[in-house]
Amino acid sequence: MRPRRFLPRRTFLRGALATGAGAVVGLPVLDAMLDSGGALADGGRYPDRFVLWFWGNGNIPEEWAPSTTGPGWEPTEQLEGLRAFKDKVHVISGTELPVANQSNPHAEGVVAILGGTNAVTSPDYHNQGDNWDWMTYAGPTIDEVAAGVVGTAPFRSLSLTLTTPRESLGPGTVIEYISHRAPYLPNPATRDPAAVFDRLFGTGTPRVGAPTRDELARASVLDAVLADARSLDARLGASDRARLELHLDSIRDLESRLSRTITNACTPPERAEMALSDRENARLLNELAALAFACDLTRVIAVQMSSPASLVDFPDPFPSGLVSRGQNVSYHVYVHENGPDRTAIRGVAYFMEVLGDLLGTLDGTMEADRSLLDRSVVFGTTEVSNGWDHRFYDFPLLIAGGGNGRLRPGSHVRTSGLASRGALTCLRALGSDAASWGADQLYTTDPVSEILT
Amino acid sequence: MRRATVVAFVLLATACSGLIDEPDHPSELAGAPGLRALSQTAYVSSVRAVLGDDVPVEPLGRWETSIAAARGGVSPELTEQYEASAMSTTAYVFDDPSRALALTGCVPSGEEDDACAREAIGRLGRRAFRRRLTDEELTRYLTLAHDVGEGDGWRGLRFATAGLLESPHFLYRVEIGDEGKATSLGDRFSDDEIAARLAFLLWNAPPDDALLDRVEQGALSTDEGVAAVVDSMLEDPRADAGRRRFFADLFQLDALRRVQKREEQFPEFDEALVLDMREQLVRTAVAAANDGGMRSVFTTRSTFLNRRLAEHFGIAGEFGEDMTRFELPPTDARAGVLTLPAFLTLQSYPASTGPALRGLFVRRDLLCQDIPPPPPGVSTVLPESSDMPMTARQALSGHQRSANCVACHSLMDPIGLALEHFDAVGHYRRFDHDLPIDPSGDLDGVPFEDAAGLGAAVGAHPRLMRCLTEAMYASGAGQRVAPESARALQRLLGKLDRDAFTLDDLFRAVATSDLFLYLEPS
Repeated sequence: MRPRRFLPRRTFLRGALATGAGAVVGLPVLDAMLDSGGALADGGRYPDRFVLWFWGNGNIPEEWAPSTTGPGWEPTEQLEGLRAFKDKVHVISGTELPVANQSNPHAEGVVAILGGTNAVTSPDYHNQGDNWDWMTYAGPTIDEVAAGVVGTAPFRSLSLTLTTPRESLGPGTVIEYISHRAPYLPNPATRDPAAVFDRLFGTGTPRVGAPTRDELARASVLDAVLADARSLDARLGASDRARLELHLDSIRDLESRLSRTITNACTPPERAEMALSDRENARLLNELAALAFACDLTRVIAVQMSSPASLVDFPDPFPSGLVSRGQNVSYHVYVHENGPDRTAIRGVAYFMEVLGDLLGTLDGTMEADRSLLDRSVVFGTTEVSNGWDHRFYDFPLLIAGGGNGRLRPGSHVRTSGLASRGALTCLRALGSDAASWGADQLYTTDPVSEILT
Repeated sequence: MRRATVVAFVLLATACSGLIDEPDHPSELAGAPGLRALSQTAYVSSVRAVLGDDVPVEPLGRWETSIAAARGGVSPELTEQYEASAMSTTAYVFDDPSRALALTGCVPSGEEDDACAREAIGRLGRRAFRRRLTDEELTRYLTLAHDVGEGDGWRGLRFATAGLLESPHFLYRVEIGDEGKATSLGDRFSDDEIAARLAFLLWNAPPDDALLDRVEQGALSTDEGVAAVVDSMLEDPRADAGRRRFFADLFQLDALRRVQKREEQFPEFDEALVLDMREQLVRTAVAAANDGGMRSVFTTRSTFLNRRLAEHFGIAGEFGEDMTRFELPPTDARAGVLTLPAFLTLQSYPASTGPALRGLFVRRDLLCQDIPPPPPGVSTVLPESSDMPMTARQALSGHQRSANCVACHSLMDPIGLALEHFDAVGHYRRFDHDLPIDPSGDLDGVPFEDAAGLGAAVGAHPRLMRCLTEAMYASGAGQRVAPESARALQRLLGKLDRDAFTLDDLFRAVATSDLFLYLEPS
């Protein structure tokens, strides 16, 4: 039984867009049921939300961290885009990410930071193509673990990308998508706001009330399919069974979405087509993310600014594109060819500006007395600490939001130990009592407790 | 941690000083998958095998090759897409009375005991699951049809058919063997599973009704039976899809559609040309592989051209949209698929050729030799030639002077430098930066003068046959040859004529091998 959180009343949200061109949307409000402590009158809490926000190819570690620690930190050039939200952003510096093998630092780094384990190479890899196309996670990424903590919503998570990732030719997708549910099971990220819209709201008029006859028939079909799978289960090996079980979970989720009665729906905004500008497109996706949270359609969103290694084009940040040696190149190639020059720093600053856009949208969307940012934990990170010689020292970790009161006001924490502490801290900020995060040399039991209340 | 670091260092230091043939890939996920998700093209052919060849269906899933699909999972989003596809494809058929009747051959009554529905679900179910439905399954889908049909027989049948297309028995190739058939060679796949393995390998499609009938008559229960079925399947026109798929996978041609080239430099590089390039390589390879044998794929001067490709090749003559066979003169710089633009374009950078990329492909994908990535901390940037123009050979000579680079690059660079007469989109060029190009070199002790000589050396290479065999097995079986199966692989290779084996010989040898028919051949 899913909790019904939608109340029969609507209000309006104006997205806090820098452009001022925000969509106006009808939203369910929960304040009627709010008591003074921020809890719901029925004893429940407002949902916790988690955002994983990832950029590829690291930063310029020597010029990243603010010069002072504690609250009131002064942004460096790279962090300038977060200035407006520095009271709600923790910059955690000084940790390291010990990656075991380093035959492929981008692939191994992303599995280490987001999965907490060493990367797994497919036993089917036999020198075909690039080895990172055959590398995968040993288990779920932090956003999937978070989805298990924050409870169910109609969509387990949303996976968004602000740039088109390099497609993997093999079974491994560690360089293509950040969010993974299991080995070889990515949550493919969507760049097109219209596709996200269609998935959340359907292509027709969103239904209010009882399911239609066809929706019930489709749900019955899925019931039969689930029964079909039972005969298979007993004869499979453990990894096949685990893989099938995750597929069946998705079928169950779809079945319950089809058969649920919707007492009050969010009024969706106008369906927006893909914007020509990356930055503008990112804003459209931010709006949809905020809406999906506000409507409690999902509680977890993974956003990739760029995929690990940043083998993607950025037409926007640099007026004429990134040019190195007379050619348009990806951020990855640029940093390899030029090292930590001003343009490389400017690139990271751009990533942070885009993250700032999302924080602004969440902070400008109120849910009763608090903003969605206050109810969220936003984890910002990357897969290497720098992109020119692939080191893993002074690893960049950002934790933003209020965690529904579990996170202290923003600060710069200079600390040490493992970068795995970032993920564990996020789980604690979401209310999990997880004792540890990670495995092998990435195992930690030590959250960054300075930022937790 | 310390131990892992030491091991990694030793591997890097030795990897290219002697070639490592069997790299060790420790994994918690080893073992053959018993459930294999469908590649994009296999999904399309599977839906059409159930509903008919005219049904519009999207290639779903993110896997283009069957080996990439083998261990893949189905995400929530893909679950939604599979469901939507099942609903739209069944609507296409069942919303049109003539199409629906053509598929079922009878009119369902919608009654509880509907003989037409029973017959139709049984027949469509056998196509979908690649085996006869169990009584329990048949009852389940009949009940579903009755319940959701609410008296409308077509409606019920439509939703029941959608269910077949959403079932794990359809969306995965189930390969868990036949418990009753343990032999001295290990467990054999069930006859149904073997039929599906053969059909996806040889046709890139599931078994059809005729093949499923033969399976039920016991045609696959003996090795002789399998050989006879394989022969007749290779005669079927559908075998062309399997042949084409083999080369598309081997040369990673699916990647062509995402290749980008620098526009100012290659203004003619567009989607139509890319599709032509792809088609040309596939046709050239398939024709050579059966006419002259697999080794001739790397030496053939018989190719296919249309108007766009003839222009690309700088060949005058009357050419239309359709591709026709064309014999390049014996003196032409092009010979074999390594000199065709599809390969050359893929294994290049957006604005320049990639001699190391081209060499790496030959070593890894055609000769099954492991070349590790550059060691950590090594800059892969070659010195820039600002004032003095250099050929690629001169630029790459930097690799020979660096201890970090020389071991691996001396294996890759000479291969790629032999192809320097072909630029980043496969145009022929006489000069590089206005300097003459020297394409001569040496492949494992075999000297060559030019690209044609390189093709001959690759075609004659002693590792080629085994590597192509492993590639075919991997795409058919969805896993690479396990080290424990080395003897079964040797038995398979022993059946091939080393010099003259054709593509169909290779298909026949793989399809009838212990390696392919048994779960764990000893």
